[in-house]
Amino acid sequence: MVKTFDLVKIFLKEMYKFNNRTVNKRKSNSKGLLILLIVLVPIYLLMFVSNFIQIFISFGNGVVDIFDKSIYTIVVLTSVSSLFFIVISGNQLAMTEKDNDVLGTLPIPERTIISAKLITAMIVESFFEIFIGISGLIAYLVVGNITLNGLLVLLIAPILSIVLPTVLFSFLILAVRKAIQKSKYKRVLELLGLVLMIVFVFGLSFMISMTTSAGEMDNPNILTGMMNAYEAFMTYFPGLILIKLSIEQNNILFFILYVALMIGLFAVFTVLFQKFAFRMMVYEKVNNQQNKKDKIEYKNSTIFKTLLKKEFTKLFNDNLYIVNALLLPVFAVVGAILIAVFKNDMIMEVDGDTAFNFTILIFPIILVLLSMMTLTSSFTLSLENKSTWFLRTLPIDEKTIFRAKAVFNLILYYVPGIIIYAIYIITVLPNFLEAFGTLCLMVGSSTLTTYINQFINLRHPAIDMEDKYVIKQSTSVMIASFLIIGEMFLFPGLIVGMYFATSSFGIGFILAGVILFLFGLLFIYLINKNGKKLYKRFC
Amino acid sequence: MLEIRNVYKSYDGKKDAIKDITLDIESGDIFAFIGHNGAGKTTLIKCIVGLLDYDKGSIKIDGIDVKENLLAAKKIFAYIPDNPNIYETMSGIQYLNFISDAFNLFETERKEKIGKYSEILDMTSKLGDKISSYSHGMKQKLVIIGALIHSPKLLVLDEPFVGLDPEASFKIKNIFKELTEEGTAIFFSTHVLETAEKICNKVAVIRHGEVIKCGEMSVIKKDESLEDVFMELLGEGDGKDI
Repeated sequence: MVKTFDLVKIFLKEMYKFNNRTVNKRKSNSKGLLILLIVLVPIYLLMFVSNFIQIFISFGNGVVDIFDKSIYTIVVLTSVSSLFFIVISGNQLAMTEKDNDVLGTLPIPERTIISAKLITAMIVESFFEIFIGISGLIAYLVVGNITLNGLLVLLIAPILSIVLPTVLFSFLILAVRKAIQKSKYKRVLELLGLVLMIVFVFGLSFMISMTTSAGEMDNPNILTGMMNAYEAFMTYFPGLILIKLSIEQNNILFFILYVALMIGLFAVFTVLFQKFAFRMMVYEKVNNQQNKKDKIEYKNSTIFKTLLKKEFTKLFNDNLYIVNALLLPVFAVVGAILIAVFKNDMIMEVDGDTAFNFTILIFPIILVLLSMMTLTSSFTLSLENKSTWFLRTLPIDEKTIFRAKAVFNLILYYVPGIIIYAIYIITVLPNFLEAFGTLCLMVGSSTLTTYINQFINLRHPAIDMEDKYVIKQSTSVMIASFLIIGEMFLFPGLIVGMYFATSSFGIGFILAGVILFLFGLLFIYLINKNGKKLYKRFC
Repeated sequence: MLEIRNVYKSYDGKKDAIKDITLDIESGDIFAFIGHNGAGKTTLIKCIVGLLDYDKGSIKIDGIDVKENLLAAKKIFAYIPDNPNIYETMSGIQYLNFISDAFNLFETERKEKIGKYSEILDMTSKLGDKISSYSHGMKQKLVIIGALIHSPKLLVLDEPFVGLDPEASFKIKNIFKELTEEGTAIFFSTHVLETAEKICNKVAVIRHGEVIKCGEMSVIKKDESLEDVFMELLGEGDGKDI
């Protein structure tokens, strides 16, 4: 009884910590939240309407077992979507929370602390599940023939289905960390492990989505094939057979068995690994303190270079930051190489005998997309966080601080960008105007995205947030991420529009690049005009 | 060196966190700013160093208005916060070089100053280590070294002795004395009244955002201890949270 009470207390504390971050964010960013809602609500409504229409059409076509399939769809969709979050939260669990050593001195069993942290991670993950799944759930409630058993499954199964992956991933990460803790190449191995996990998650999601959507894209009755989704997911998650039986036989006992199995596995793993997991969590803090010595040098440098160096020091000292910032550029370069290799497949016939090489358009679009995805300027100012006092009390002009952070973002873009550009020049052999136009596009789109994101960060700072991972998911990053959706239509649309206006790719690229650059200048002007005032709120 | 005239600051637009504060700190002064928790000490300090905007009044450092020309003011003061939150990913030497770059210090100058103060504070062998490996006290020492390397005319410190071992506190007090003899003004907030009594020549007591006593230390405390004077000023009930 006492232990249960402890679990509840720690769980509430963990949730309070999470909630408190959110509350602080809301207090200081009420406008940001409003903008976020304005962006989110239409997307959400679109998802809801789309789900609703699909189910309605399916009913019209006489798909009688649509309700059963829809349940599997929800479970599958939500569980797959949460996998990425499991990797992240599992990793975060392994990181040292400041309170681990304090909790360790209190008369609380390790399993209680570990359980509370795992349950918190799952609840946080399930927020995302609910976000994805609820629109479909409402649609099914309206058109489906709901039974109590079905409703229970719909509500609880998606959350329970993440129990096992969360527990396994969390302990797996801790075990890997334990295995490599004394290695000379610890950081490299950690980085490699993180990349492998992300590749695994993407791979798994990709395999499931391929199985579920193969051949269905042209079919308006898209849910007809969704039994495949269930079967595909069953391959990776056999416990779902109990949900299937529960639905098919309308028998709640199977569902109860599923719940018991999930809770049982959670308890077994937590009890088995409690001491190991807790020791590792506390060890992380101690271990993080060990490092190699820097050479003592007194070289002077310009403050701009020093600020820039600081940004790179931050980047290269955090594996997750490295993955966040560099994974996409690496994928883009690999993609560009693949396109270059298979460039002949992209030559298509237009009007019978005119061959059109799509690579002339694809490379510039990849370069523009890459600039949109390079998001560091949307959070680097917030990342200063508790050490903001330091920069703000040194005799450094605010514009220099902003410029260094913008240039850091631009370097992260231009290094892979120039490689892709070189591949483009070598393999596609564009004419001078096209080559110059592509450069204009790179400059225009990177300037606009860098400064628009920095402006968003200035407008919506993550004040009072201590956790760097929470900062990287704060309002400014969310707004910048949603902005990408608009940019993905606008930027390529502008390029194609300019082509149709001028009948020349080269001139079209130049004009599109100039337009984007002019908008970029507008945001530079806004930052120069209001940045100093906005930056004062960062403290 | 530091002129504070009728300064008001409110966080919510209703209640003043500090009100009508007027203080003068001359070159060579060590000025203690004491008060209970939440009295407004940190608010005033943050207004002085430009971290917070004040609503009314004026603050001048060496004749430079901090609202009008903060960048120029920053070149002549140094600030040490109550909590040494600094870049954990840097090493100690990288941090000190960062500050030296901000103040355009040449190699010889920074080498001399960093060498001198890190030797005094026993930090020489730790400068190559990552700041994340430092204890609270070591971070505090590093921030103090960083504040001293550009020879500021004014030092503004918020609870500078928190987390320091007795030896480090002693050495820092000696550094302060040495600096004031050279003409530096030091303004610091503290809860440690014995320290304030020992090293400061001036003192101001703040209560609920208002300065209730200010002047020469010897005049204010007369034959009593600073603690007795402070308790009398606050009233017995208010003094319990010191």
